[in-house]
Amino acid sequence: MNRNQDPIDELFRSRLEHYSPEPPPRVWDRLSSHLEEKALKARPVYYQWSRWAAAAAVLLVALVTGLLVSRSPQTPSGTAGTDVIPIAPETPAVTTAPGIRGTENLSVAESPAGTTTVRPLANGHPMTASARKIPTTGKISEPVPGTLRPQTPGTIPASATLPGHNSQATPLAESLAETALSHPAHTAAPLRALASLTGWVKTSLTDTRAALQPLHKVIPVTLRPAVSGEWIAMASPHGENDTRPHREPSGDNWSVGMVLTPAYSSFTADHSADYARNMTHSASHSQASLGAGISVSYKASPRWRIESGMFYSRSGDASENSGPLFAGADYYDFENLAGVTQKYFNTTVTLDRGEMAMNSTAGVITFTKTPSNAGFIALPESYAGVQTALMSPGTFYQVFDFMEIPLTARYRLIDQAIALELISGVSTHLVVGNAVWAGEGSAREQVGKTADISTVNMAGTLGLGILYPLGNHLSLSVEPRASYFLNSMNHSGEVDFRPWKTALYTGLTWNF
Amino acid sequence: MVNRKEALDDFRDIIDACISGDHRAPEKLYRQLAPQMFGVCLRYAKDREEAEDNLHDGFVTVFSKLKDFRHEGSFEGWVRRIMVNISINRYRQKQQLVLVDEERKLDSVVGEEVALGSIPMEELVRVIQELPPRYRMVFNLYVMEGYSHTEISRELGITEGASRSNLSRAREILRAKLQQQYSEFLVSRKEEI
Repeated sequence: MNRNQDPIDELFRSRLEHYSPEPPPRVWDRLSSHLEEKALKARPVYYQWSRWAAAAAVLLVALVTGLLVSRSPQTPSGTAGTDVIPIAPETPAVTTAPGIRGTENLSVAESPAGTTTVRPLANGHPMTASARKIPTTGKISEPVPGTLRPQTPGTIPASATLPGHNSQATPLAESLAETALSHPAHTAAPLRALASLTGWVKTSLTDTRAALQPLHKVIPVTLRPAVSGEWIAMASPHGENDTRPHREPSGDNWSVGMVLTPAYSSFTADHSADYARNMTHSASHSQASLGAGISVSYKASPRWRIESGMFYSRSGDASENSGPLFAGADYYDFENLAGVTQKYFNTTVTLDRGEMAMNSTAGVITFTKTPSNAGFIALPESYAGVQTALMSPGTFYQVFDFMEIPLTARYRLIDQAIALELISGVSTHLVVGNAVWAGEGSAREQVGKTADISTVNMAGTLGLGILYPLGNHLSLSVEPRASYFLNSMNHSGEVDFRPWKTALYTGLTWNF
Repeated sequence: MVNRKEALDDFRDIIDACISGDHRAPEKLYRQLAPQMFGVCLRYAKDREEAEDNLHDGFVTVFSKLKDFRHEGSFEGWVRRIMVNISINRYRQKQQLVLVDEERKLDSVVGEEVALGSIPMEELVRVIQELPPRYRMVFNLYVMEGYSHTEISRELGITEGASRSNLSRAREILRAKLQQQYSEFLVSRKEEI
């Protein structure tokens, strides 16, 4: 029998041969989820291992690099507190740098009892009104690391610099703060910042308790905030016993990330003529540092994502000797007893009844401590009158710690196996640390802070995000970003100081 | 012929992209072939839900076996064959024993199929789905896929005689159902003739 002769056969064959109804979307949803899981399981062990190894290597390199580069600018002096120059009124401050020749030029700075405001540095140049007053009694010294002493006049305990640390801080924050106090100064600042961050998280984000719960579970155990953050990123927001079916990654609207941000920072600065006349000049326009933070983003559309979070970062600059107009030429101690020729920093300062201030790149430095091995010298009289110059070897560093709260938009340019995103937005920079360090080489000590610094600043951000999936919900992100301050950090009107930085935001992102 | 070659080349690119790990390629491949394959699955399934399951399982097999496709024949035919095999496997797993109504002599409606051409395709699929499972399998394999009774007997684990008998009964049932549901249409059609 010819199989095509039956009319019923022919009817169904001809009508249904090209029957192509559209299947419901749920079929593809199921299928894509299945394929994703299967692809992960099917990968060779070495392939999965290599991915994790790559991710770990990137994070490790970022961490080590950041620690190394952030260690050098603020290594505390080994002799800090041993060569403190008293500037109390009872003690005429004859400050003699060891071995300086021509000591007949050294002046005596007398400081009457009490405190006064800083007087102008130079004729016609008003020192900014917000320059800080400093108690003049007592000896300014470094606190003993790890101890909390009652604050006495002229003593700046380490705890006084804890930014944002309040009585409502969490045990985690307190723990970090204590750890910060027991750490060397160069590592204490990031810990203090994280302490304030975690305190803020506890008190301000109670509504997102579920998402942040792993934070409180993990960090107190290890006390390694940056490393622990990786586990924050990897922890499921739904808990370990989450048995819900995996959803298609494209359906993940929220992301939480933990990133390290090794950065290269610099600044642009502009000063009034009067201010610049007696100002240190910038010796270095760059500084490497390491930051860290937590990001949260929401997928508004297939290609757009809104991101915020909290990041710790650091910016600073180094300043050397002033120009010779009033400060005179550099002073050299030619071949002292040790046979070494020493060059001294000799920028004009105001020295008024125990308070000392100096114009510098980011703003007026108000001293809480005289740099070790420093001396004062009376400059040749000029139309500005008798000026005093601080003679100190080494360099001054004006360093600021920031807590960044960004608001950025991310646009997915390429949606392939490795995704590429364009990042743009603004970031609120809260100044949580303000310190001035002095010294040279690895011997540095904190000597004061910069006046007239705005606590709240805004910066613009632009960058590229490279995302590499490590699993259904986890991805590795490497994001070069650049940011520039939209306002001057210094609000005195004399100084326009705007930091900028390029950073490599490297971390893990969990999508859910 | 050119179009067919272009189509093959198109599939070759997508297939290569799938194999190389481009995560967007599987969806592209699915979008191109899913409607036609869903039509195939609907004919073999007892309902729409089962057809969706078969379509899903079929594409899972397609993507897992993609590296085995040698580009020697029609990729579309290869995928269709997978869908049919998935449907056969599901039939085997169920091994449903369904009693078929006693054979009845039905009036022939030969000569009326031209008029039946206006019956919606969804309706034709529905009457196929209503066939007893083995009849449905035999009818689809023989009529739509071009299997011989020998092949059908091997695939379904039945004798060739049973396959012929099942096909005959499937035809009669389909004919009866269509006649019953479209009798008015057929009567009017006869009167016209």
